[in-house]
Amino acid sequence: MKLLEVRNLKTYFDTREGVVRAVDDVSFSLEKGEAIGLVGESGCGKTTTALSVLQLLPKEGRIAGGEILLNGEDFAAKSEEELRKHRWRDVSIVFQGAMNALNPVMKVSRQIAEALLLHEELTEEEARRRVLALFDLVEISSSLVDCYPHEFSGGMRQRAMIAMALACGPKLIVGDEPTTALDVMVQAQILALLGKLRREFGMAMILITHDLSIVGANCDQVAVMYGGKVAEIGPVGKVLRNPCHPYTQRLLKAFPDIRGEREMVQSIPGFPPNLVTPPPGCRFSPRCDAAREICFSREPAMRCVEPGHEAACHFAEERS
Amino acid sequence: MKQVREGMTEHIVDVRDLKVHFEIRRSFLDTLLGRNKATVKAVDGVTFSLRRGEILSLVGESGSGKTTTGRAILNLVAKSGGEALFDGASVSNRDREWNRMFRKKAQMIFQDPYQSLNPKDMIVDIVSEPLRIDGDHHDQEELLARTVEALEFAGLKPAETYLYKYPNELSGGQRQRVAIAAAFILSPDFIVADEPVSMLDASVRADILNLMVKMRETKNTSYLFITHDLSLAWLISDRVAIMYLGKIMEIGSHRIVAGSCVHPYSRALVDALPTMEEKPRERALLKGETPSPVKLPPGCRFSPRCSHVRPQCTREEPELRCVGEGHWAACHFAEEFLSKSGAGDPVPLQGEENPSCAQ
Repeated sequence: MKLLEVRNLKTYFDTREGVVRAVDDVSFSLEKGEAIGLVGESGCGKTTTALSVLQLLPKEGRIAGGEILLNGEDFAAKSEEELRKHRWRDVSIVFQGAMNALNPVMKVSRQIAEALLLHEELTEEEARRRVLALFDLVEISSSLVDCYPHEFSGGMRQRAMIAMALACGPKLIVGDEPTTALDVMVQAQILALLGKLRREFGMAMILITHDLSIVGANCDQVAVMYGGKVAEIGPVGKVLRNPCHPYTQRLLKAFPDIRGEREMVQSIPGFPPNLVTPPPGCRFSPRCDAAREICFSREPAMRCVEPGHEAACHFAEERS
Repeated sequence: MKQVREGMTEHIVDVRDLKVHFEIRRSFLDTLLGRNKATVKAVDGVTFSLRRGEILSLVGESGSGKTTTGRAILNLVAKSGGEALFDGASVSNRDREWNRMFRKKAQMIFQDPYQSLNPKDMIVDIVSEPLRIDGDHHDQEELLARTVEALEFAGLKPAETYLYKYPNELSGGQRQRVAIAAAFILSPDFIVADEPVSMLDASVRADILNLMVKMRETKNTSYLFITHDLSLAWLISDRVAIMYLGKIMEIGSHRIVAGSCVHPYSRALVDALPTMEEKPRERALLKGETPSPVKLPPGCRFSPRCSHVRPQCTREEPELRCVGEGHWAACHFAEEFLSKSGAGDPVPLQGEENPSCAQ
């Protein structure tokens, strides 16, 4: 059984302008210990997908269809009360800029202990010991146990947030741009830490990022999202080396490859689609330079180009 | 790229031993107890020069002093020592006429286009403002014509549809184009671009970078490109300077960030770069974080984190030394790392003290 299976997930937002189809028919699955990267431009539905898995949508948002199976149980059908038991213990999340979410007037160790005490029956003493073990795990010196958030650097605070997310030993951790606000060196340290924890505890991970190069070294699978849909999905090596969707191909050209030729990056002209009234046919067709007639009228289905590697383009096979 | 007219200096910007130190405000208690004042040495002796039409990237982690260096060159923060020359004259020059010229010829592009544009001004006002306050008289027609020209240069076509919009009606990429149009309208010779694309999606970054390159091609503009992104620096600059705790650790051609660097700090930065390689090489990440610039370690400021540290490193501070053509590094053992980096054979030292001579 897969650890996580997301099937035809639809998440809509009810706004004054109409219904925003932020996530529209997204499917992917994760094995125990596996990592998937969700990439794409801002507004393509990466974060909404992750928030749907955790059922942490803002009040305008609702899951309009599909299933989220965690260990075979449908998450989408659970009540808030039941969900609360699963969150943190089974799934947890580290947000972008999470380090700013720490309570400034409470010691960091205390904040982690509170999360523990809320989910498990522990004595104060046991909780404190667990916190120390967690600090050790995320490589924060135990001398900092009694410090307040302002005494921590940004990287340290992000480590503390990871410690908190790991507190109850989740099976799945979601990282929503967990290193975006951090320096290169700290970013590399945090990603290495997440990788180590994943290997040690067999934890699965959903890593949301806009930076394709991060996915290459840190994930097993990648799902490239565009306009609320998955444009291309598959093993990282296959998708990055042999991209079959025109959007993935363009996105790769937007990043400089320091190990390759020094070629100027190229932008993708146009704008991401309006998700209240998405264009008919393929959502990328208005920006696609290889679009043909059928692309503007019929929505492409996922096509398999090689085992495990699928792309939502009418001409995916031609491009591989 | 060299277009040096008669009477012009070869370098548009010359920075010599630039220092910017900030005093930390002391608490009342510290004053009472007579504790020593603490100073942050944000920029601590930086020397480099920029040729006309050249793009030099300053890279480094936060707190390395790259932004402060850029601001000090534009005379936006007071220097504590050293000198920054623009067109051969000191930027802290008090001459009114010269300052007016300087403010026209040297511009800055900021990181966050959501904060750098006045939300109450229409695009036409934002872009034409530099012309309206530059002291020369321009009539309405000329103002409008030049605004349209600048907007179209920046890729906002047709300009008429953007003139009377407010910044909140534009996307991030479009706003950054407006900021570029406003910098372009005075045809500056020198632009400090402080992380100009780091807030933008990858899909629009290229446009902004291309605009900057286009401006250098048409106007021979020089850039100081401040970024934390090594691959961007590699992509668009002629030369790269790597900063750490207020000092340049290494400066050389763009190739140094692609692997031909010799300084252990540069090496660590380059190794920390995520790459698309599926199975990344084993890399030695630096432990810990950049120490505070208030208490700098003795000797080489990188020595506490350096994996190659030797006794000399904690005693003497290394100066920037020439290790190859146009390639300078501040490490006592640079030559040793040079042979390992594959950057070429070590070049005998020429006893040059000023990096600008060999660049």
